Amino acid sequence: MTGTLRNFPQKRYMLAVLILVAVATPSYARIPDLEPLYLTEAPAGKRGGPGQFESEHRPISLRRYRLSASTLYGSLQAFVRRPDGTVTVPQIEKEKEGVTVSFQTPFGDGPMHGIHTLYVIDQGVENGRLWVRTAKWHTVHHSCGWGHGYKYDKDRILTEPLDAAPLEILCREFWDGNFHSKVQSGDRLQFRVFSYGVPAAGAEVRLTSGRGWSRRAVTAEDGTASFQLIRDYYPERWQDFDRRHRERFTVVAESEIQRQGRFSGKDYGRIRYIASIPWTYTPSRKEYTSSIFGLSIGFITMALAAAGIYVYRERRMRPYREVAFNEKD
Amino acid sequence: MKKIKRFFYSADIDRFRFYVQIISFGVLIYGGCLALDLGTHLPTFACPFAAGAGGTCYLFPLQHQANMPLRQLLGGRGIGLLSGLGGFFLFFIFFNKSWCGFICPLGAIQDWITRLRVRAGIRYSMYSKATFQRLKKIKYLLLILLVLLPLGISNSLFGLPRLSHDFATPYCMACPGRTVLPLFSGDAGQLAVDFSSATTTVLTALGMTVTGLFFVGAFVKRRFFCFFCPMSALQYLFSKAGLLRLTKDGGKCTRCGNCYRVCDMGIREIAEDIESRNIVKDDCMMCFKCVAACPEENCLKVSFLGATLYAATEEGFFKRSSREEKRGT
Repeated sequence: MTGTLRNFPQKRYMLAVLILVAVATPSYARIPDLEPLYLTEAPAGKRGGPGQFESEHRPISLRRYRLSASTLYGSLQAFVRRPDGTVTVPQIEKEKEGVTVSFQTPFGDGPMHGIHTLYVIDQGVENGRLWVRTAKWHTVHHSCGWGHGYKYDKDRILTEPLDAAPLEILCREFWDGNFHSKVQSGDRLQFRVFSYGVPAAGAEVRLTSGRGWSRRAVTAEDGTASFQLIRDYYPERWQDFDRRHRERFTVVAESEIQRQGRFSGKDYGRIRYIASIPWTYTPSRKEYTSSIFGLSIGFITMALAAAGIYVYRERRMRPYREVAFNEKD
Repeated sequence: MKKIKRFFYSADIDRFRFYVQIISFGVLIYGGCLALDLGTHLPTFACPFAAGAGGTCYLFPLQHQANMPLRQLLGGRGIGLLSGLGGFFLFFIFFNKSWCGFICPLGAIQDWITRLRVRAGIRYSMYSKATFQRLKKIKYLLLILLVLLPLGISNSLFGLPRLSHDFATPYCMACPGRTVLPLFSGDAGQLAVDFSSATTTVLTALGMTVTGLFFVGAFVKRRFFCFFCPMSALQYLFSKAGLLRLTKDGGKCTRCGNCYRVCDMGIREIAEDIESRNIVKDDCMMCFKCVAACPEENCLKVSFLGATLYAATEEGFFKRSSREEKRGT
């Protein structure tokens, strides 16, 4: 207590210096960075509730997602690119719990079978800077019962950047030709960042796993950046291991340009783009399979079976014995 | 017309089968590389675990579809199971059990191993009549289990607790097709034991044991694995409706036993049964070696929708015999 009182004048002096520095700094640098806009599964009956993950094997007819951001400017725009390439506008609802975005995914094989990509864009000017935040979400509308007829249809399997998206992160390694998620811990993933459909060079990309592990990279000229996912699922007991265990990771890209303009009656001198996309990963197959054990079992079986057959055949062989008899008998 | 018939009836069916097997093998193992997808209802081992497979064995979706609550199975979702079975039937009906003799890649591998054994001069084994009768039931047991076990995941069968999801594809875990066929596309990853749970450990260890037995068995017994194949059992349920038929005229049979001696499956009835017209038995793979080995005019016939495609003739028999003598086989 005595020490605190003794240091009190010093603290006041430091605070005054900090205020002076803050006032002298340009306005855009004073704004604390806005958090990216994220989409998460919204409660939707039994499936897709909080803490659960969407399944790419069990289709549902209505998809609902919640926008997670503490600050929203309110100028929300949202659209969905459907598997057949058409773009529709989802329904945006402001509820007590927050903003939810929903759209229909008609049941059955056909034009809606495949990847739906939801984009939600929020824009607003704050202290001379235009913040353009884009949240992206892929949902796989698929049932194995509908078949895997699009296995080799690149237009259906691969997603393309959307020209209307201010900043977008694209990854073509999230699912396989059967629309099954294929990302496993330890995988190296390549991302491409696009701004209005054009590769964005020099954008800062950050990958953060659900457990807090994070890596940063800067996009190359063609907008690419790659990350190797951490292997981070090690339950204490073998019995607790679940090879279907899913963990979320989120990729965020940020880019800033100097451009003057006016938005909603406010002037700005710079534009900051932020984009996010989440996906999930499961434990690597290498974590729980052993080829040494497999091959050992295979070879031991082969050796034992071969030896058994050899011994069986040898034991059944009778030495040649000539039968001689006297015709007079 | 007579000349064409004579040409066909004198043909070397085994050589024809050898080439068909090579083509089928290429299509089913590498077809995916050419964006070929024959669907998921194939009545043969086209393994989905092999990357680039040109189709999928029907047993895989059958196990998946069996994993649903009985109420749903008997309701709307049961239609999916029925339509799957319908797809299987449509593929099957044209070629009947010749899917095994001409198209199955696992069968082709066994035939190639047999050729190696013949070159090595190692004699083959045959089952005794009693062993044959006992062992032939195994494939039906496997067929029942591969439906019951996945059904037990979503339902409590016979008052037992529900099974783990690791029983989703129990037969595939033990099938040598899963371990052997991916090897041809450069993937040895299935030759492993999956330690993620007790169930997968047991099933994959069993799979490696069966793989070991597959190679040794195929080396000493022609078409060793086909005897236990649940696909063969499933096919036989629909075999009577097959458009491709193998018929026998018992009145022309002299019981010389040639057909039995050349039969890779060791089916005695082909020689002993002079009553039945339709001679396709549950273990028959419709390779038509018996027709080629029969010296009696029109005793054994292969027909499609009543039109004879291939028939036993004395001339054909002697031509084939002289060809074999020249080749020294």
